[in-house]
Amino acid sequence: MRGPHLCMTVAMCCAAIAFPAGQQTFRSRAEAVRVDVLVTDGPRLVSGLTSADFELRDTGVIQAVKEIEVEQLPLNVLVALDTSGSVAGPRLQYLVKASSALVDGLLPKDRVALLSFSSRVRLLAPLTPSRDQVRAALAAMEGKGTTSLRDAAFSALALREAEPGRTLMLLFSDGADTSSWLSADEVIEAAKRTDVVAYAVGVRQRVAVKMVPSSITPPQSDGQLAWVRPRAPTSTLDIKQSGKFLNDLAEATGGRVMLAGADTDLRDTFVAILSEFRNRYVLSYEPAGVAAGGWHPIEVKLKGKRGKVTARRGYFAQ
Amino acid sequence: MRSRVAAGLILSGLSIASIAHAQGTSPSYTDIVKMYRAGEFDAAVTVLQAMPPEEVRAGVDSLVRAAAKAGGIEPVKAAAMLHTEAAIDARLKRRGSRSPLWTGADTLMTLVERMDPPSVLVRQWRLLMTSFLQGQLDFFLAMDYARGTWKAIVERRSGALSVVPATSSASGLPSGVLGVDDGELRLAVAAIHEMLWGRDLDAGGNHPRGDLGVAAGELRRALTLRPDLVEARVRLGRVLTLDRKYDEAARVFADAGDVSDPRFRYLAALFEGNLAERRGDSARAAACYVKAIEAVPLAQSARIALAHLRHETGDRADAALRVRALAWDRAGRDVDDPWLWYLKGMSWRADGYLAELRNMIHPAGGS
Repeated sequence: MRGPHLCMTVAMCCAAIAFPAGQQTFRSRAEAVRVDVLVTDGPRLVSGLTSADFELRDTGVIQAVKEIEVEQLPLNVLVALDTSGSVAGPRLQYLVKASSALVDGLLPKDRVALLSFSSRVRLLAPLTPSRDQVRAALAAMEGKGTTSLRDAAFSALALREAEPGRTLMLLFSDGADTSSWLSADEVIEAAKRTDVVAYAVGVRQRVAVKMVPSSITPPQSDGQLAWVRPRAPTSTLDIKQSGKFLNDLAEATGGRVMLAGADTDLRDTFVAILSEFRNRYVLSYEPAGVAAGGWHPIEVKLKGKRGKVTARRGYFAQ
Repeated sequence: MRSRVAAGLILSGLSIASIAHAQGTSPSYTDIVKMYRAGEFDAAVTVLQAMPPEEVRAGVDSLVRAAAKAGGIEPVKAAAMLHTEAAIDARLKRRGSRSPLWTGADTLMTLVERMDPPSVLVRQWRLLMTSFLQGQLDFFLAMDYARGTWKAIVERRSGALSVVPATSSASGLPSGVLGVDDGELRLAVAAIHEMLWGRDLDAGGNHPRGDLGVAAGELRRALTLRPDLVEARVRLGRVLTLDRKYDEAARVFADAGDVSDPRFRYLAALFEGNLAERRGDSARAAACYVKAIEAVPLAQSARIALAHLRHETGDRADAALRVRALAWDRAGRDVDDPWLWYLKGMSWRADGYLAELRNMIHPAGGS
């Protein structure tokens, strides 16, 4: 049932109506709540389902859901790319090509924004229908500096525009966060307050085992630190560090993490994400029988159908 | 101003080396040391790096024997600094590699310490080394230099010390000047603990650990020794906040008063804002972040902190506007954000230490 790289995702989105700028809060009571859902069976996307195939609980209470035609909703795509020093060179070129392919796959009604991040977060193109503006910004990117991954993720979340449509954040990074001000917990909590669905992309890489001293406690009587093999290679730890954050972010927003086998696979990965996002289900319901305000845990299941559903775990209602 | 340690050394010695090569002669090790003593720092480094290792070793041995015989320490000091600069330069050009030049620098500086205790030069050199290595995130070697434990390594791997004059002190570092009771060296140890603690936190508790309690203790002692050490006060407030000792952290920030250096004013306000957030005082936190932004307007971290605070407290329209403005800003550069250099411990001080050390070798100034 479970494919090696496919975890299903459900995204929780706000009401389909257009809120005033920046006010895209989740609402209960007479306000529709939108849930972005991915259903898979192993590596295969499950299609052809209707709202009758889903059971959705809000704070443990079953809700009456209806399905929204995904095709009717424009996409807001927030592309956030790591342009730190480790990306410089061929990887950056593949990243530019992958992003260009993603832009090529957008429909006329869709909009796209481009952020880059290294030591600083930079908005290279605000959410725009202009593909040329984004392509020009992509071409001007250069790789240098440290990696402020968490600050960039928060920035993308905060930039989510309160326009009709679904918002996809595509976040690429190839290494550990080395310079963010915000903590992982702060960004994950912020993610729970938006309707953005985050897809994180990394590149599989070999790591070298490095010997490091086991501690910085005072050295032994001979003045030497004890050199030991760490519990895991240092560089693997760095990958795990960013990997855990990206996993948590994807889980919190109903997205997922996808690892490209190599830089040359980035294009296919980006295109696959856009395709997958278009093939999700969007469920809508008006919360009934639950308290207004606060954190609302949600649970989405299939009724009598085969497949795995992964959903945002809840939403904040105000 | 170009950062010499951070950006690498200027290769102005190529012409000298080329001329010597064209003439069929190469400058001797003694000549290179003389060049360095004459203030031709970068040129001397370049020529030393081009010299075959066996010639360097022979030159060092010759220099040390001469010093032992005649008691002249100045050439040894110059040679120690020459090797130090060459080692740093090599490290910057081949990140991650270890240069044999390190051994020469360690050996010669140990000799200086023994011939001329207590040596201000050695103290400043330790600060240079630990600052530089913190910037390279080489925490363990940085700790060795902060503590002076590099000597133990040198004594095992170096044969040059066998010619140390019998009159030199073989004891440990004297306190007061070179010992542990030195405010800046205490600060260095604390910074390493704080940096390692952060990395361990990010790595999910699976990394060699720094100890916030040790860091706080070192910083308190540093402030006792050097009440004017603003960086120690700012770091102490941050360390106590991370260690959830909020009341004590608040007192430290209150005691800091008005900080004149805008970089530390920025960091103090940023950290105090974080403390206020942790204590649930959003209004105070916002005021602190605004104060930080006023101190260094082009820095990004305080602007992100304020945007996040607005987002967290429900004003997402303001958060979006702030993020849009900060991320759209084209004027800001990495070097504008004190948070970025704070993350690399005392590395920002390395250029200053190097300048001081060069001035000790050649008071007229560097090249």
